[in-house]
Amino acid sequence: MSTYLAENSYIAIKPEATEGTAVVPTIFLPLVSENIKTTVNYNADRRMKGISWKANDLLRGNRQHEGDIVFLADPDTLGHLMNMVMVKGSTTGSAGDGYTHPYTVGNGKSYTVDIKKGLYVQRYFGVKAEELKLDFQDGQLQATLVIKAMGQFSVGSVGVALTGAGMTTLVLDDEYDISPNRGLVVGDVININGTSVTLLTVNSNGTTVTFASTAITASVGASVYLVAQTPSQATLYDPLYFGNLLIGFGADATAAATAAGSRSTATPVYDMSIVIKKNLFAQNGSNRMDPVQIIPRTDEAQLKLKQLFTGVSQRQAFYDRTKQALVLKFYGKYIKTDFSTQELFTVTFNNVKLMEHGNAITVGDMIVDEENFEVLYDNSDGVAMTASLVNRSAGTVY
Amino acid sequence: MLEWYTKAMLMKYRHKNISGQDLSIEGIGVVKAGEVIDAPENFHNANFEKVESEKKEDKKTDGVKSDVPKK
Repeated sequence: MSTYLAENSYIAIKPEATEGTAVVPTIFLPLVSENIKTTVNYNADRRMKGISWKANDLLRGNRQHEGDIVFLADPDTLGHLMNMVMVKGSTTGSAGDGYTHPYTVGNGKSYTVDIKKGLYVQRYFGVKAEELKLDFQDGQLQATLVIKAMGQFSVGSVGVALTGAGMTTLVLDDEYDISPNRGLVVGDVININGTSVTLLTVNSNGTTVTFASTAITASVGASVYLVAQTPSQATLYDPLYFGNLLIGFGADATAAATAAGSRSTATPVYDMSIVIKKNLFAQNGSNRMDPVQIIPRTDEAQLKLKQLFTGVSQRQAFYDRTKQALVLKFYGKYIKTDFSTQELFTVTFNNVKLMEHGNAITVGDMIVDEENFEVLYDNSDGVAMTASLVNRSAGTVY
Repeated sequence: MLEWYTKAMLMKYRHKNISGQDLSIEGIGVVKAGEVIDAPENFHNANFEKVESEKKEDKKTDGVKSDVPKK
């Protein structure tokens, strides 16, 4: 199998019981793309050494692990993404009826994320969502998740040579980090200079892992990498579609929910995007070369809509800073066999006001209201936004 | 030119789907929740736990690599 085909890649995730402590991911999600990378912040060693070249080595800086992951937002995948940006409440329902997951503003969960690339896996742990963007591409709901992570394990080096039969312990080299086994988990399979072993322990000393007695010969500096799992896929459902989205406008959340309740009262739109931002503060400090903590600051969200220009109400709302409420209902396939419950993602914005409004005109085109809303905290309702999701995943997976 | 290969002893392991949901695996198909499958030694998936192993005899040859066909 070619190691360079992107189609052979996978992403696997799992919520962490303790933030920043890696777990072995078990949930394999289909993805469109990702570009997460570790920035080591190397600097040329500019100390004066009497040589005529700029530098003869690099020095390490503090590390960051950041990037984007793009998914098509099917209802089960969407549940995990919402679990990272909001707080999931108590799930109700059943496998036959579908499960309903409520979400409120708050600190979402951290995840361990494994991304298979060719031979090996890049694992990021303590992964937190910086931003979640939902928009439509080709009529399919697409989710772009921007993440920051507290650390990574992918490739290491042998620190103490392994000399043949009966090896049970690997000491990793400390060139990358003085706790090089951080990110490994009992049950992981690692490849040591061509031989794969399953980890029995990950030592708290930060350098050592153990495995069952195996014949391995590996000199100092030989490669060690995290072996990919054999991917498994739960039943995959369609992403939510633009054509099944109903948007309700109202003076308050109750009126907006009523308006979103049927096609006759919903407002047609021709483009939509939602961005939820966590404004993460990734703090490098003592104790680690990686971020010691990733702390969300205040939440914010923005919403962009395009409507055909049919009146001046939005222009008036823009000039007058008029409060509006919006409810978006993304309907999906039916879950219950009697067609009484279906996939449904509902987002309620209790107080939105227009930040920007435009009506550009071009020959041959329709006149469109381009509306950029800021999502604001509503004093009457005591909340800025809420969400709920009906899908086939039990609440325990989140 | 004939080439004779020695095939390694094939170890088959039984793995149980402990995820609580049906999972599809390339080359195997849909594995129901709780179902036990036979999988090769290098099978590794955190949704499965190894339950037992059984040796499967290989088709071992004499392992001699030769350009000359044996009479």
